[in-house]
Amino acid sequence: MDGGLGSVAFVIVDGQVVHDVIDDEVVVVHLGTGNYYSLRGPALAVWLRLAQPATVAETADVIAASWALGSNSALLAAPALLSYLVGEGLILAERPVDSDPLALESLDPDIAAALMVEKFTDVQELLTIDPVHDVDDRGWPSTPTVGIESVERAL
Amino acid sequence: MIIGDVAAFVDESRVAFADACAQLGRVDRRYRLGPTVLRLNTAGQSFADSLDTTFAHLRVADDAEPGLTISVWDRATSGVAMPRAPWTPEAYQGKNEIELSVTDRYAASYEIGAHSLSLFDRDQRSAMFWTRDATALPSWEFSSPFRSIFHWYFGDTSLQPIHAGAVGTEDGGILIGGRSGIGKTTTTISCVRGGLRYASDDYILADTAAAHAYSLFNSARFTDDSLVRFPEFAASVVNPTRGPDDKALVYGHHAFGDQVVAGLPIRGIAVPRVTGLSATTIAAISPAVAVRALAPTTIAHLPGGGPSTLAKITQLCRSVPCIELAVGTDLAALPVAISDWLASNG
Repeated sequence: MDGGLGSVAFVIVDGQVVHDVIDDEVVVVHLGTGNYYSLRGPALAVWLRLAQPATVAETADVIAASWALGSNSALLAAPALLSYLVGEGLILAERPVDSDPLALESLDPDIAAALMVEKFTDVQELLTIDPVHDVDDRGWPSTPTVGIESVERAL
Repeated sequence: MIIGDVAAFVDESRVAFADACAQLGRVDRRYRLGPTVLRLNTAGQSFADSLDTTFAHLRVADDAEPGLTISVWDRATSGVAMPRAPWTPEAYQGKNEIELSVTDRYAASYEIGAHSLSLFDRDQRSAMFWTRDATALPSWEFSSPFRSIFHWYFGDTSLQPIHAGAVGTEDGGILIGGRSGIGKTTTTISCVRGGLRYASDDYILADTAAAHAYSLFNSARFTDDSLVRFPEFAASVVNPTRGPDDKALVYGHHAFGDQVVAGLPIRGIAVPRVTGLSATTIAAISPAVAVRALAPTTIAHLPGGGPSTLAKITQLCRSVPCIELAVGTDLAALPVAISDWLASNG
């Protein structure tokens, strides 16, 4: 019940992800997407473990130790949580994974809720500015046709 | 990708600035910038006067020793262009950042919506700000200019520009955090109307170790809806003709009088939430909620330095009480609620 992830180890993405623990929560910000996350309870414990590479089994052990739903539920939750974090670009597998990702939404709602993961997308538009495509003859960006309005709205 | 000599480009830019000053004259003004002094060298009286309006409440003597010098000019007025960029289009990254990974000495960003370049030299503690046409700059470039430069300048200190408003009383102040549209301006301007002190409605410079908010800009930006709520400030709007997505710009030293202050000790961090109920209520929240309100939006605005920005904001949120400000429809009660809270927690 590891979602085909086997003995692959996962670790927090370096560079694009910033995070800090405050009290019983870690706030995680993805610099590329602008999405940010609140991880508490079992998800916080997993995040702290992922500072070093961790497999599905090791992640399940962390989950089992930090909540009361039992080891069977932890074995279900671990691959789903890891797949979710991979899909959000927050962690990566140390080698390519040849399996369909599991989604948190596919879990029993009680288990998903117990993982204590929240995602926020409200500052996403600040980072979805149209990239520079064209420059003038001195190398400075040409006037964009889209993007300015989203910058203005966001400020 | 860097294809030229960045140091040579910076030198050429300094020569270009001197050329612009030869055309228009150089205006040298100095302003308090947190614990140090900002020297603005601007080519041309008109551009200098426009920027002076933003920093007028922080003006200091012309011989004050500067910690940071910014040289400012535009092409349209001076006729002096920026030298050829020493990088390819791929160097323009998200958040308007220009990837200068070949050097730790310089930092640069290009604001595509304003066509403005900010360039910082860490060794010389100096910066340049260039734009194509100063008269075409959007209102946000006059309401909160040089944020990227301030962010770089204070990068290795406990100071941090933070996307937040700041108001207070003689008991101290609160930061009002959160993304645009969450109610920062409604809260801060209600407090101005109620007689509280005003340091910012949008960006402050926080000493995250000493819990002190320094005012950066005395500007306030109103949506059309908020101008309806605060009609007494409509006559102070400096951009009555503006684009459909632009906001009305008001300068506090004109509109708010001596309620504008240079700084406030931070007694708390508030996250507003508009409720639709009549009364305003205040309740404690976890510091993590305040971090979520302040950090992602600040990090998204400013180029580079994500980990240190988050760490500084986390430090600040740990050090003072954090509260949810459930903003009611009775806006007159809002400053009273904040004053009472500050009196109890100051």
